[in-house]
Parts: sequence; C-alpha cells; structure tokens
Amino acid sequence: MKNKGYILVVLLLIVHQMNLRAQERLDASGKILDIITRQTIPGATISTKNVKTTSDADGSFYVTLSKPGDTLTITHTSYETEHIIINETNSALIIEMRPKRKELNEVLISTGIQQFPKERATGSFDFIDNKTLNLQSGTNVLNRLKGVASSVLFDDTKTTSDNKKLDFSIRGSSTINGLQDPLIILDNFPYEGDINNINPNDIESITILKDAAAASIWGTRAGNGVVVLTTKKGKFNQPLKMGFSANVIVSEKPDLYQLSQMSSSDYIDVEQLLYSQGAFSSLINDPNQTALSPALEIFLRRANGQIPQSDSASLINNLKKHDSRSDYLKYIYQAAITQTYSLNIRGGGEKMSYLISGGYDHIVGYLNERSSRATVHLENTYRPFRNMQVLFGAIYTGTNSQSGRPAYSGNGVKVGNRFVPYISLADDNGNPLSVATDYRNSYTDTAGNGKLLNWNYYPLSDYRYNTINTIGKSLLAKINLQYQIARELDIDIKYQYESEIVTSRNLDDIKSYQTRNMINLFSEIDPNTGVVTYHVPYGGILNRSDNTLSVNNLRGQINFSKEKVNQSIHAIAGGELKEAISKSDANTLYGYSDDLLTSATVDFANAYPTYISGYYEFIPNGVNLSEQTNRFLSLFANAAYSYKEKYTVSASARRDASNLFGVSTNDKWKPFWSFGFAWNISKEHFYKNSFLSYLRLRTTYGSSGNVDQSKSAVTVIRYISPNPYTNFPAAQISQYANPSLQWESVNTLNIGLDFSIFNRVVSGSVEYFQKNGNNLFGPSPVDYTAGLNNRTITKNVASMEANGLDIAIQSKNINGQFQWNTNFLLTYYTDKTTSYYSSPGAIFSPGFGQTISPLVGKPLYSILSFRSAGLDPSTGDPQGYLGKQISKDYNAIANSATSPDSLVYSGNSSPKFFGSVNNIFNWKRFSLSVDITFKLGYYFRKSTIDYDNLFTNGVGHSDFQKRWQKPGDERNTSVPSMVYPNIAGRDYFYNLSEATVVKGDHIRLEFINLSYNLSNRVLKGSFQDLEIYFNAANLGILWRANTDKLDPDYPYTVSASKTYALGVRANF
Amino acid sequence: MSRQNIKFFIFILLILSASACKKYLDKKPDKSLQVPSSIQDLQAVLDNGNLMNGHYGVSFDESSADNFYLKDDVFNSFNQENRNAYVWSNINYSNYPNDWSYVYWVVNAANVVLDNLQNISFTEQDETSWKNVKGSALFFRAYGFLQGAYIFCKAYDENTADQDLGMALRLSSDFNVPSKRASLSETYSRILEDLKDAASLLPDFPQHDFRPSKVSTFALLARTFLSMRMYDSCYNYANLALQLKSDLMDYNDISQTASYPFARFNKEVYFDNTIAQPNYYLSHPYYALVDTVLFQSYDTNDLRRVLYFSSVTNGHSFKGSYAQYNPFIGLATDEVYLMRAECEARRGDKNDALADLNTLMSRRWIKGLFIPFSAATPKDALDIILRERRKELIFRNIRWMDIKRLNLDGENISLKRIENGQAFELEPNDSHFALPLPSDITALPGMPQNPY
Repeated sequence: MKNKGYILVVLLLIVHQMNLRAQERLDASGKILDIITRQTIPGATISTKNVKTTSDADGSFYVTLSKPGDTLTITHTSYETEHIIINETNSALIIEMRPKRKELNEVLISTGIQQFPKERATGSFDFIDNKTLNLQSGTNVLNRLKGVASSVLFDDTKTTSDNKKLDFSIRGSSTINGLQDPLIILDNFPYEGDINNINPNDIESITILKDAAAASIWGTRAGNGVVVLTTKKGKFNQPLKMGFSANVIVSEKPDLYQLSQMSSSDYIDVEQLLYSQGAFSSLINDPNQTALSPALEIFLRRANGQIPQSDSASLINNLKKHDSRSDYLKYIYQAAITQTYSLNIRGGGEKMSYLISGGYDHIVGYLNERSSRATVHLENTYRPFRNMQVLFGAIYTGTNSQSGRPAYSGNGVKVGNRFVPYISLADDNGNPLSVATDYRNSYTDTAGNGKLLNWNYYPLSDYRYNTINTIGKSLLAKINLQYQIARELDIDIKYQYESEIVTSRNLDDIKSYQTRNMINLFSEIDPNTGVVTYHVPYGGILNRSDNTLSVNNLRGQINFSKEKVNQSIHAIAGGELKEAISKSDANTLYGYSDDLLTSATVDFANAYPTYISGYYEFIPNGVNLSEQTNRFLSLFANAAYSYKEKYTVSASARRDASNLFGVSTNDKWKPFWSFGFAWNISKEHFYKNSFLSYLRLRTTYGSSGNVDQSKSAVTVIRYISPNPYTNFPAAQISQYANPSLQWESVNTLNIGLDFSIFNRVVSGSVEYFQKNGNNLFGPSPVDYTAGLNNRTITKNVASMEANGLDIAIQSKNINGQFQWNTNFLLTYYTDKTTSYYSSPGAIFSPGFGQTISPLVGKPLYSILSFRSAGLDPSTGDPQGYLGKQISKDYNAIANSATSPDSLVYSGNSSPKFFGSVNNIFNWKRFSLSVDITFKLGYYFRKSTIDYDNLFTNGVGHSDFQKRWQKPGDERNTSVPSMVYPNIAGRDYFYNLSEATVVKGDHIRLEFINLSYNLSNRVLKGSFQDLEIYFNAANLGILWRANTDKLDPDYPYTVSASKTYALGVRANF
Repeated sequence: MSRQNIKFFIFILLILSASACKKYLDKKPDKSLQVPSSIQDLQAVLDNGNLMNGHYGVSFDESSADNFYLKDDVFNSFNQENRNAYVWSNINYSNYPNDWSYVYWVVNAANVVLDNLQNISFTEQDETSWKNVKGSALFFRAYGFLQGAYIFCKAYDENTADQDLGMALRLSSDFNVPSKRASLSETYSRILEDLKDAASLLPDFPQHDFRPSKVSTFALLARTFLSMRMYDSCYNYANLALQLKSDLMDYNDISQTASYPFARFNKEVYFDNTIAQPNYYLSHPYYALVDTVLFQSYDTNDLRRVLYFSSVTNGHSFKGSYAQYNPFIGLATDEVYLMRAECEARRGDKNDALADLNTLMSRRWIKGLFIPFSAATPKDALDIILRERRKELIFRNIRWMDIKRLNLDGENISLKRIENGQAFELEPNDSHFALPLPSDITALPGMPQNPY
C-alpha cells in the first residue's frame, strides 16, 4: 500500500510539473548496450508516440520527446523490448537490452520449476519439439516419445501395477518396490490424472530430465526421470493465430494367429487321452453341473450308447477342424478407427495474451467399443503492471466410453474350469450359437421344468445386454502470479487444482446371461406348489461406481537472476505443498430398470440356498468405499553461476516429506542434492578448432532415494468389509512392523559432451552416466512360521552399479533442394549387482528377470535358470543337475536351489543397446521421415507347454507339436514328452530351464511419416501453411535374433497392430 | 526488500513451521488403515472370520486319515503333492501356502493382538471387552498350536514328550525373532496355559459362534487332554462344558432331501471353524469316497446314514458337515458327549458312559427304533463309544489324532491304501504319523524335520 501511495504522490507531482512546464520539450540521448556483453547495439529502434529513430553504429541515439512522462520504446530483432519513462532531459542514458532467449538454435528447457536455455544447463536434458511430436499420431501424448526420445525405453512386456502405470522407462528404473514410473509434469505441477485426458494437440514440446539434477529438483518421485509436458501458449504482442488439425487413424485387426496356441486337433487328442484315463470322472459326476467341453460330451454320449461310433467320429473330426479364433476374427474383431480434430486460437497484445483451444476425438475400437474425448483449453496472461504478470488457465476434458464385444482370452473359450480352443460362436449362417460356459446343457435345458429363466449364453449377442458405460470429467485450473520486486528478483506463486470424476455403470439387463444366471441361482421352487421365489428380483443388475480425484498444489518461489558483463547468477528457492485425495464408492442395484429408473430391495443379510448345489450364499451387495489422502511438503533451492559464458557451476537441493503411515516425522524427510559444472571449451580463446566448432563439457553428481510405501515401523491393520455372518467390524493385518527397513539411496554421475561439427552440420551429445545404488529393496525370504501372509518380505537386499552412454547425433547429410537429415539415438546400459545381503535359508529361484538377481557381478535383472541336461533319450523327460549328477528329481532340484551357484545365468533381461535411427528427407514440399528402432543384447523367457496347466486348465501351447514322442527326438527338440499323471515339478523345471531362454535382439520399423506442405504462396494468403500427412506405425520387425519368430516386445501376446493415419494440419 | 517480500517469507515460514508441518503430515493416507490402538481395533482383527474361522486350509491330517478312499482315475487326476500326501510320502515339499503357514497365520494374528493389548489399559466400562479380546487371542493361539501339533507332531506320550519335537512356540509378533521347535511337552504346556487363561477371561457364551467363549474353551481343553490321554482332566472339562451347554439336535427333525442337511451355527455348535480352501483337497467330499466298511457300519435305522452321506457313482460322499459345503472342524456338543462318555468308560464307570452315549445316540436314530446300547464291561462300553465316536465325528479333522493316540493305548490301527495296483501301508506308531514340515522351513536353523 505504501508503494502505491508513493507512486500516487509522484504522479501528482508530475502532473503538477506538467502544468507548470507545459509545452516544454525534453531531449533524451545516450547509448544502448547489451546487458551481458556490454557491447553497444547498433540498429535498435527507439520510438515514442510521435517519433522514431535508430541507434548509430556505436549504439548512440538522440530523440526529442513532446512532454515529460512519455515512454521510450526500444526494440531490436535480437533483444527483448525495453520501455523507459522519461521525465526530464537526460543526455547520458544507458539503456541495457537483454538478448532474446529464443534465438534460432537456442532451446529453452523447462523443468516445470524454472526455464533456462539449454546452453546454460549442466544436467542431462532431452528436448522434443513440436515438429518431432507431430511425426506420430494417436490420442496418447506419451506414445509419441517412441523412437524419437533418447534413453526412453518402451516395454510392453512388463505388467502394469499401481507402481507402474506407464509402459516406458528412462535410463532403467531405479527401484523395484517404489514407484517405477517417470514423473509426468504438466507445465508446472505433477499430473495425477489419467494421461489419456491430455490432448496431444495441446502440447507444444516435451522435455525429459534424466540425471540427478532432475531428481534434486523434483524429489522423491523423480528417481525414475521426469517428463515435462509444456502446453501451447499465447504470446504478448502477437497477432491472432489459428491452428487446425484433423486426422483419421485406422488400426488393423489384431493377429490372433500369432498366439502360440495348441491346435484344436492336438487339444482334442489330449482330451481323449485324459478321458480314457478317467481324469474327468469327478467333473462328469460333479453335482454342480460344471460344463464339459463339446468333445467330452460326445465321448460321453458315445460311451452311453446314445450315438453310434461313426457319428461320434465325424462330430469329433468337425471339432478338430475348427479354431475359435476364426470366429473371433470374423464376428468379433474389426479394424479400429480413431478420428481426431483440434482447433486453437492464440495471440496477445501489450497487456494480455490468450489461448483458446478445443479438441474432439472419437475411437471405435477392435471390439466395437466406443469412446470419445472432448477437451477445452483456455489460458490468459495479464500484465496489469509492468512488473506483474497473472496467468489464469483451465483445461476441461470430458470422456465417454462404452464397452463392446467380448475379447479373446488368448487360450480359447472358457468352458467350466477349462479353456477350449475349438468352440463355435456362430452356425454356418452366422447366427449366434449358445455356449455352455458354466453348466452342462443337459442340466440347464431341463432345470426347473421351464419355471426358471432361459439359461443359455450367446457370446456373439450377449454383449448387447451387458454394457459398461464410463463417463469421465476432468478439470485442471491454475493461477500463476509473478511479481518483479526488483530487476534481479521476482516472486512467483503458483496454485493448481486438479479434479477428475469417473463414473462407471456396468448394466447387465434382464436379457443378459449374467443376470439370468444370477436370478436362476437364487431362485427357489416350492416342491409342492411349484411357486418360484426370486431372491434376486427379476430385472437388470447395475453395478455402479464413482471415483474422484482432487489435487491441490501450491508453490511459492523466489527467483533471483543477475547478469553482468562477465558473469551471471540464477537462483531460486521455494516451498511446495501438495495434497491428493482419491475417493471411490461402488454398489450394486438389483431389479433395475433403466427405462423406469427403479430398483428392487434385496436381502443382503441372509444367505440363501443356490439352485444347483443347494449351498447357502449371500447376494453380493457390491459395496466398496475407500478414501486415500497423499500429502507432500517440500523445500527446494538451486543456483547456477556462469563466468564469461564459459564456466557454469550449479547446485541444487530439495527436502521432501509425505504423510507416510506408521513412520515418525523425522523419518519422513529425505534430502536430495546435486552439483554440476559446465565448461564451454569452444569459447576459450585458445580453442581454434574450426572443424569442431562447438564443444561443451558438463557434469552433474547427485544423490536421491526411494522409500517403500509399505514401510512401517509399527503393525498396521486395515478395516475390511464385515463378515456377512456376524456383521462385526473386521480388520486384517496390512503392514507388518518392519523397523529395520531403510531408504534406498542412489548416487548418479552424469558427464556430457555437447558438440557440433562444421557449423552444425553434425551436432549432438555424448553422455556417460553412472548410478550407484545402495540398500535396494527386494523381496527377501522370511520364515513364515512368523505368520506373515507371504513367504517373502521387502528388505534392503542389494547394492548395484550401473554404467551407461547416451549418444544423440543430428546430422544434415545433404542440404539444398533435396535435404536429408538423420537423427541417431543410442543408449548403452549395463548394470550389475555388486553385493547381495542374503539371509539364512534364502531360496534363489529361477525366473523371468524381473526381480533383483542375487548373482553378484551379473546384471541386476538377470534371468536365472535351472541347468538343463537335455531330454532323457528313453522317456523324453527333461533332465537337470543335482549337484554334479544328472537328475530327474525335480523337487530336489528346486529345493536345492538355495545358493546362486545352483542356478545358471542365462542372460540379461534388459537390452544393453537400444535406440533409434530417424531419417528425414525433404524435397520441395515433400517430407518423408522413416524411424527405425532397435534393442540389442538381451534375452527373454518364452512361454512353452506346461502339461499341468494343459491337464487342469486346458491351457496348451503350440510347442506341444515339437514334444518328444519317440527315442531319437531328443536330438531335434527340447520339449519334454507328455506324461499322465503329471509329475510334480516337471513342468516348473522345464519352463524355467535354460531351454526356454531366447535372444531378444531385434530391429523394428517404428513408423513412416510422409507430409506435403502447401504454403501461402499456393493458397494465396488464406493459410500461413497447410500440411497434409500420412503416417504408418507399428510396421513390424525387420530383423530378430530368435528363430521362433517371436516378437520380443510381445512374447506372450499379440503384437501391436499396424496403424495408418491420414491427416491435415493448418495455420491461419 | 519490500514488506510484501517479508509477508511472503512469513507465509512460507508459517506453512513450514514444525508444528503445522507435523500436523499436515500426520493425516492418514488411507481411511481404512489404522495402527491398532483400541480394544475395538483388536477385536476387529479377531473378528476377521475369513482368517480366524474360515481360511484355515489345514487338511494334511484328514487327507492322511482313513475316512475315505480315492478311485485310481481320481487319484491320477491330482497333482503330485496331493498324490504323495494320500500315500504318506509327501516328504520333500515346499508349496506355499501350506498347512504350516495356515496354522501360523492364526497364531500371528493372535500375537499381534496380545502384543498391542499390553499398551491398552481398560476402565470399568470396557473391562469385559478387554478380557474378551485377550481371552479370544489366547484361545486362537492355543487352537493354532494344537492344530499344528495334531498334524506335525507325534501323539503326546508323557514318557517321551520332553524329547519329542513339538511346534515352534511363537509368542511375539516380531518376525525377526528366529523360530525354534520346542519339545512336545512344552508345546502342550503352552496350549494348556493359554486355554486356562482364556477360560478365566472369556464370557460363558459367545455373541456369535465365530467368537471363542468359556464353554468352547472348556471343550477345547477337553479335546487337548483327551489327545494327551489325561482322561481325568478331560472328563472335568467335558463336564464343565456340558454343564453350560448340552443342546443336541434330534436328527429326526432334519430334512433328508436338502443338499446340505445341517444348518450352519446350529444349536450343537460351540465354536464355528471350517476349512474354506483346503490345501490338500483330496479329502474334500467332492472327490473323496467314504470308506466302504465304515459306511456299512452305520445301522439302517441310523439317520446319519442318510443325513451324512449321499449316493454317488461308485460309492458315497459326505454331506453332513455342520458348515454345509465346507468341512466343519470346530467344536460341538456331540464331540464333548463322546469325550465324557469315553473318560467315564476308561475310569470304569460303565453306566454313566452308556448314559451319555445313549443320550446322544437316541437323537441320531429313527424315532422309536433306537435300542439303547448296553455293555457287559467298561471295556466293552469303551469299544462301543470309540466306534460311535468314529462314526459321529467323521471328516472333522479328528480321526488322524485319534489313530495316533489310540495306537499308544494299543488299539493297533494300521492304514492301507491301494493305488494303481500298488499297496501302501502305515504301521501303528510309524514315525510318518508326525507329518513332515515344509522343506523350506526345515532348511532354517532350529527347525529340524521330524526323524523318519
């Protein structure tokens, strides 16, 4: 207030003076200097309302003003515009101009907390501009990093979990038990919502933060790297601009035949064998009427003399010829079509800039499931005073999706407890057929003498009556306030609110099998009167759930920056508060009518006899309530000092705390820090290398850590639904007191060299990084006599060391009318377990390379296997080693694996080399980009036949055909013979032996993008530019090391389908 | 610096000041989580019926006992661990979870309650609740140890119990404390001590059959003493239990057409405990056929013949569980009547013994067709009682222990199985009657395998 009063007094004085000295002219003259180099600036434009002049060769100027208080505006193409108010004649003005940051080759890096030119960075950053992002299409912005971002590894084989929701990692993950995803920042704050709510057309650029400097800026959650998404923005003093884009993407049907499924013929032969051995006798006599496969029903009818031998043989032959996948591809799957549209308007004046954008996407999926997304993005920045800037922004996303047809399970159709691969879904005319999936038809056809609802299930039409509708509404609103206190000092307060509401309705109407089955099971028919009592009322069943997320972020920050001739200092300090609350509730309505909006009351308190077994069961109420709150509190600071633009030193620190449960406050805080140094060698006066025109060395070293969310110093219980019999409150032990657990700590060193050759014909960077991890979390065997409901518990189990190289090279191979540019990205990464803190009785098990390997000196994620001694030539049994002896005692072999030496190291499960080569060709208005990715130097375990799984669950494998059948076969195959009854541990041994480990190396054609640009010349000024493009992605494997024709990125499922996109992008 | 700056600093300082920050960070991350700090919290842990009364997967003993047999084809369709268990050769196994882990889940839940209860004092108002929690936890722990001893240890013989291997007596919830197998006598002393303490704390009757009570503790004490062959003490506790509750169902009132004739929580039940997910499922009625000789020993006028069994292809399967589909392994009045009768017969009290037996049996026979049992000598009475005990308590996880203890009394029961033409036999008092511990447990120091 006092400031304002002061200004008011001054203004009054000025007005007073103006009256006194009316019509008096003022002269202003002086020099214009570069604020950093202190060199004079010639050619700058100095203007007032009435006059305009330019500075001389020595930067001096002279101008006459009409009255005191007039503003001088100084502009220059390479400098930021300056404004100066002149109140009296002054002949010695020194006007300092700040160079414009966005120079031609200068990239402005955003960490989400601050922005700075890449030239000043000491840490490891990767910047992906809008043009590169536009090389790929699709509705998920992060997928556009595929094949264009350095050290980003996409891997769809790892399963997703709460700790791992994204399918990529940056420089390997640094933890196993903690969060494994890179941190996603949208502009200034971590984005907590569904990444699919972000419209890729709203994103201007992406910055990837890779080293310790990243973690020390963003704290605990940044250990796996940070991805900063920067949205498009309006700019001050920019005329109105409009952008428009539209495209259509077609994805091919998934190739179900890629699944290594057993043939129907082989499957039925096995069924026949099992049947003749009596393996199904319990199932056939099952009082619960569990459904039997069609072949089994035929065997039974034949055995009971209901059909002659010849009929049964021809029926079985028909079944053997059929593969359910053909029905799925014919009647269920279709090509998926995605349409996207977006429009944005941006611009700005002296005091305000704005952006309005809208987008609409519509997807019709493989299963005819439909989803749509509408986004609106508004952002306005005001500059009410010269030293103050206020930003208001909001993004609203509305999504709506509807389920489609049932997907293929991967193994066949589930019949009873088994998967059957030869079920027909339609008759010869394409009419839906009923499939006995739960109970035998012989039972359901007659049960209740017509008093029950029809009990048939038609997979082809049932989906029409069972629909899941999900509606999402997400809002992100923010206010940023920036106030310049002094020339060097500004404060910055940012607040952001994020909310997401997802409502899901799963309606099984009365025509759906699910509902009819439920009603029938809870029906009672009075044996005397024949009256039917429905305990589940006649009508639809609606399962509804609401999930809400609300996040509040607040950050206060002071920025200090001072630039002098030879040196500059940039520093920030601040604090941050964050709260994320997620709630969900769900319940089930019975007897529901969507037309009348009515539902019926149901007795949840008493158990009723179910129709088939007579076993008493409760009607599920579907109630689920939960509320989670995560709070974070952080303090951070960082500073960078540059001398003569040659040397930069930087340091940063952060302390994070969260409301971890069962931990005392002191343990909740974790410090992070980093130091950095950069040396621009090419700026040294002794450096006279015109070939290597630019050379800059930079290095950082820092420390970060991870805490296990399940860490607790005390025992914690979790309240669960009351037992339905008692309705007493019930709780179970959720976390066992584990006070000895410590923070994981990771120290990271990064040394980078930026260079360019021949005036940026070839430019790029080479980075070496080293990670040293201690106290890494891992599952450690625990004596379960202690009563924990697991045989392992998380402990600090190992130390590791990782080394890597990131190479990124851009080269302009041919310049001129025909241009050819190449972007080459290569990451080399190796790590190893340096020590393993084993505990007594530890069991080292072979596996898939997804947990830390106890083998010291070998990669952290080593694939360990049972040593294989081939197949027994007389029986086809797989053989292993017990000590030095060849053995078939599989249990003993498994139990003797108590030391790492008893297992064989079969290779690393993560690639040693990966990267991409992107070639861009420009000719006239055409531009063609071809992106090839590769992963080299790693292994994976392939799936194979598991006879136990085949016998009990009907899950077979095409390796069955390669099995040992007669002596001599062992020379050509490693697949064991089939033995019934199955021998314990035989499948486990073979599946996890050396024989199933395969080389993963492969090269893939990631995408091709062709575009044609019609500039304003063609279109006579109505467009600034107009681009039409065609994109093809997931084009398949060019080369692979394995001979089994497996796709190492999708070894157990179907590869991502090829997609083709056609689109247009325009700017007005 | 201007005043605005200072205000900003104060703002930052305020939000970060120690107390505010502690409060801010002390918010529970999940509403359903709780550090157990009240009597209600601990009662809730014990009221988790899924674990304490239902997810008891123990079935190693019943699967090894002689109430049932498997046809070759059914036997062959099992995995090898089940097949090995059936013929008493499941020595080297490490599947998880297993009977050992099931037993200790319950023991650990009880220990968590007991450890935390030490820090919770009670007032006059909640003294009963506090005592109920403590008594229940002791009961559950003792039940766990006893169940484990029946499976993994030899029968109690006072001459060798000091040397025989018992259970690992885990009395604290700290998993860092190494386990060590105690002697069998220490094991039984601990069980008796816990149960006696429980009896002094628990109310006479439970609010629900899922909760322990004084009457069910007396019944469990009687069962414990019976397996220790201490018949006087067994008699005392059986007597105390029956004094509190001696209700019996009349099987004439039970519907013979229902798939599962007996209602759950019926009036005979003291304490409900079931096997919801049997670890060895071969003894489950779904697969197991009732031993033919045993089935034939039920009199045609004996209602149990129709209420306990249903006719299936090739034989009979069991449907008489007091918990419907799942096998009932809890405590009920019929067992206690039979225990009291046995103790009375053993001390020579023939008439009391027969009176107790006939009280029970008169409610098992078709009305009007029951001829009361009579015997010339106490030994004859004992034989009748043991025969009826076997028939009454079939598939209640009692037979395995009965074989072990009766063989110590010279009953000379040997077991025989024939599968795929091969015969397997288990001689009386064979070391395999103490079933093997999982091999990953016996790899630990202090946890020796039973000697075979």
